[in-house]
Amino acid sequence: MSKFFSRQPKSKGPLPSSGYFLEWAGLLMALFLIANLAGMRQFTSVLNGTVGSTSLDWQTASFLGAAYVMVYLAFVLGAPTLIIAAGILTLWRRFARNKETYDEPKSSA
Amino acid sequence: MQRLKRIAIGFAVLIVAGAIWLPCLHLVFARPVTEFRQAEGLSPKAKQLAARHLQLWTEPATRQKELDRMRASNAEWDFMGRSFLVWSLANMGVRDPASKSLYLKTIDEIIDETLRLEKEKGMYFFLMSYASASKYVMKPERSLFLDGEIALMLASRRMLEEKDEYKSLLSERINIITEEFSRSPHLVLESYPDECWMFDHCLALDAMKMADYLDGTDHSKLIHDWIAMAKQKLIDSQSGLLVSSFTTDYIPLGGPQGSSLWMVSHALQILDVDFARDQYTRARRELGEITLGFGYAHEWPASWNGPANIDSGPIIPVFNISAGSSGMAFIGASAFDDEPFLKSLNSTLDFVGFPTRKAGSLKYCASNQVGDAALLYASTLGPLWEKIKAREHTGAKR
Repeated sequence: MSKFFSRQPKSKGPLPSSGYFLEWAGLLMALFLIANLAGMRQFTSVLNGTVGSTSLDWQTASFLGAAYVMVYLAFVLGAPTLIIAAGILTLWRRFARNKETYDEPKSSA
Repeated sequence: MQRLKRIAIGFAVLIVAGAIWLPCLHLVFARPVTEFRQAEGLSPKAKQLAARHLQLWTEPATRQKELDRMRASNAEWDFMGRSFLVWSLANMGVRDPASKSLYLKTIDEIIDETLRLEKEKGMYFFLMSYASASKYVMKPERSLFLDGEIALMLASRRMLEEKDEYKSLLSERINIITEEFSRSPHLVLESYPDECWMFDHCLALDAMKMADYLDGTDHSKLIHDWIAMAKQKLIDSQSGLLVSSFTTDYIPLGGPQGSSLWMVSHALQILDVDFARDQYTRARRELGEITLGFGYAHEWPASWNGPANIDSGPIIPVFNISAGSSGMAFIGASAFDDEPFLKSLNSTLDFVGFPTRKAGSLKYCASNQVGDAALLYASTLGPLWEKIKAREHTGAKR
């Protein structure tokens, strides 16, 4: 997880690191799991105007519901996007490397 | 410079990845429409939703907790949750005869408790607080919301299996409504003080239609006159849709609202089938949407500008998605066999409804008991309406 706190770019060359995207996808997944384990899902009833719990005040229940929705959407929309982006970067890097390998002997010949 | 270039490429790759993922997202949630509703028998989702509701009626503490949550926002939902559940169970009894005795027992429990509460606490117990803030135009004050839905509960129960005790209760309720109509100068009845609802009128007329089927009475002239009046006085000129609420002088209050209209179009199916189809087609065109495989509904047509309210639920901006209208759209899509719309609505439900399954039962966390009961009704409706329509078409006896 050190990459989240590192200010130094880990990637060399013009392309960003695909591992960086995968780490973010992992973080979103972890947040989603924590929100589920914390039982925040039940507070999403705020979407229809019903309080999530009669033991909590309306504002707290609404905040928990809205927070869960955001974490869920970040996971469902964000994590796969980050994984696909990581895949694209990996393919791009491989393609660029192959091109370099292909170009080098040609220029030295 | 190198860093800026990396960031720019990173964003560009994320945009491309998003453009790949978003159109595919619905495939994760897409299920065959038979998972939600089947022509015969009960769909898997109907069974799971029903299990949750039946559990609520066998566990009073759980039910009370659920009711407290809903009543904190809207006392109406407590009542409507009962109505939708009774109508669902009556249809389920026809679809699943093996469990009919369980359904009948639960129906009777709900009806008896509802009638007891109405008698003990008065009609305001099931109405929103503003009902007592002003005076009803007609005296004695009654709410068609309660009378119509209770009558339809009693009639639905009797359609599934006759119960002598409910025969007189249904007749009394229908006679009260009929008598009120005869006294009303404009053929409209209040649900709240000087506030009449299309939803409540259509359901009350459905109850009359069922009473005619059960008891051999004849309310066809009243039904015919009322439909003729509604077509003339209660249609929004821009969209051609029925307005949802209006005063006793026909002044529209809330315009054509999706949270009412989908159910209204279904209710009209046994009153005037062509008009019902016309209203559904218009509602589908004006209110229903499918974007990237996800179905949803607006609360108002583009020609009407209304604020979010307790019926619409919060409106999600940009797409103008109404939780209330989208939930009730299941009933319209199911009643009119609109499979593409029903399938896409089901995808949305599983995407943002936050389903929770436990020991064979299903509830949607983003919904509440009345919302889930309306979904259960959408997944089971049909058999009772078919009985009425069959009688009309063939003159067959029940």
